[in-house]
Amino acid sequence: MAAGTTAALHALHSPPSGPAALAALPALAGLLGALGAGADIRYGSLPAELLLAGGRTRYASRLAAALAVLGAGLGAVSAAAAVLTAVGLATAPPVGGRVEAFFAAGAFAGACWAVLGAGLAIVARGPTGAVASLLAYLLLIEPMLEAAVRPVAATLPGRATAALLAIPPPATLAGGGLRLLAVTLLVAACAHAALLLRDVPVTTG
Amino acid sequence: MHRPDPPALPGGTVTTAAPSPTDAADSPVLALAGVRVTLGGQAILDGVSLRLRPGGWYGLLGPNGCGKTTLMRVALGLLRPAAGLVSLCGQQPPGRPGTVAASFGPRLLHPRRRAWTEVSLRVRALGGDRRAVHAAWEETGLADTRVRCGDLSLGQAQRLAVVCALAGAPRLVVLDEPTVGLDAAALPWLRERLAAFVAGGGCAWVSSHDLAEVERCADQVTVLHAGRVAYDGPVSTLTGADDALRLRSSQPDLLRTVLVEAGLPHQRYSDGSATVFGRTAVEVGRLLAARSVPLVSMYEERRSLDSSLRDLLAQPVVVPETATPGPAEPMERRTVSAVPGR
Repeated sequence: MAAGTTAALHALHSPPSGPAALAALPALAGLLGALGAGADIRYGSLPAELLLAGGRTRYASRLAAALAVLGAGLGAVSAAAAVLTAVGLATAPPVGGRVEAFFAAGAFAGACWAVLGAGLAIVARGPTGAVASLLAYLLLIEPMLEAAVRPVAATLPGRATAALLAIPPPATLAGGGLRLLAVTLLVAACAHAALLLRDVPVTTG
Repeated sequence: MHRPDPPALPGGTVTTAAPSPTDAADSPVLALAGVRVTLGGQAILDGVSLRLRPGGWYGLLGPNGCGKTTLMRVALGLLRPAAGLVSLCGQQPPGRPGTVAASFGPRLLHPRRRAWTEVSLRVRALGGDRRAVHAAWEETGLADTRVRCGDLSLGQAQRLAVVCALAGAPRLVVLDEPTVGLDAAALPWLRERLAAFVAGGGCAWVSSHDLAEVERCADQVTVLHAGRVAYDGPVSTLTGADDALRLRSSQPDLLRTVLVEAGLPHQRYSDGSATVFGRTAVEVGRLLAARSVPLVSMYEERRSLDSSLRDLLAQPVVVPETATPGPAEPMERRTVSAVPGR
């Protein structure tokens, strides 16, 4: 159990210490997004929701905004859990007094991963494929890519998240934040294109 | 817009719908022109054209697999046609939020979501207030606000789906088989609810296998057959209720002679009775009185929609001469002297 946890944390590039909640943030927020966006596809309510929203682009925008807000909340909670864990363990404050930046980084990462998960659900036409893809990527694919293609390792979303949520926080959040945002926008664009081009079924997914 | 002529109906009367002087003021809520949908190289829909106007109850009929649901998906912008034009309230579908609503079945709801939440979310999203939410909830006929959508019976879920579709008074509501699962108490509710919706200027487009309900409620029906429009017009014309008079005389030979000499299109039966087409009861009554034909009975002969539909679907579908849509053609009514046997 401990070996598995350590391996997972290593894969997420976070030290096996207090902020374990932050290490799980990409997966948790991604799952939130995948399940939230995939529900309409799974239960066949997508046609009604599209008509209610007045179009596919409006629907995608509202969905992304809602899940981003939820993901941001999850990220902020994860950041709070990391800080409280460190305080509870009576270790030195992990954020060097930059509490606001740390919370903002957590919220931003949560929002991005929620939108990423939602995009995967739309591309995969349901939550199941999205969840499987997300976990496979975080636990297997990205570590293998990092080992195989080192020059691009920094651009990978998991690595970018780790840089964003490093403890102590980096001097500037822009580096990791921009890389994560770029990946998020790329996945969101692909999902939007898929939603626009595909026919909408009127059955359960 | 060109609309293909339907095949000859029983009785030899061919009728195509045409714009009336008031139609210009009622621009169509939905207009399809030459819609073609293919799947794997096979045409599911081919050259389908129709118009739905505000304040109308339109039925969409046809055998299983003829493309009814596919046509509805095209109309709502859920399916991209290979060819043809689709206009929803003058715009590309689906139009502005809340303009059109649809229900494709009672089980397309989030099963773990509470029915009250489903109604509330829908009404609030359309700008409804608390009173509107309560009014919509009352229509569902459900008592327990904690019941989840997945725990509803088929009929309850169907009624909930219809209530949600009608929330916010859309301009067009599309219902695919809305009577499935409804009990004897809910059917009148659906009938009255849709009648009120239509009376308020809304347009209801309903696909159904419940022909009795369609015959009772629909202003016009579109019949799909092999991916094409086999008929598009009033129910009464399809069933022949408008212009079919069944006559019975104590002197059948005299009756036959008078009808032949007057050149009235008619069909004779082995029991001596006859059905006259294309004439009013007053006209026929005056003619028979002038020729002293004793009448035992005269009544409008109305066939059920079920039998009319079966006869229609047994005929080959007429392929339109032109593939591209053109201007609407004026109404024409042609009667033939030789009446095909029923």
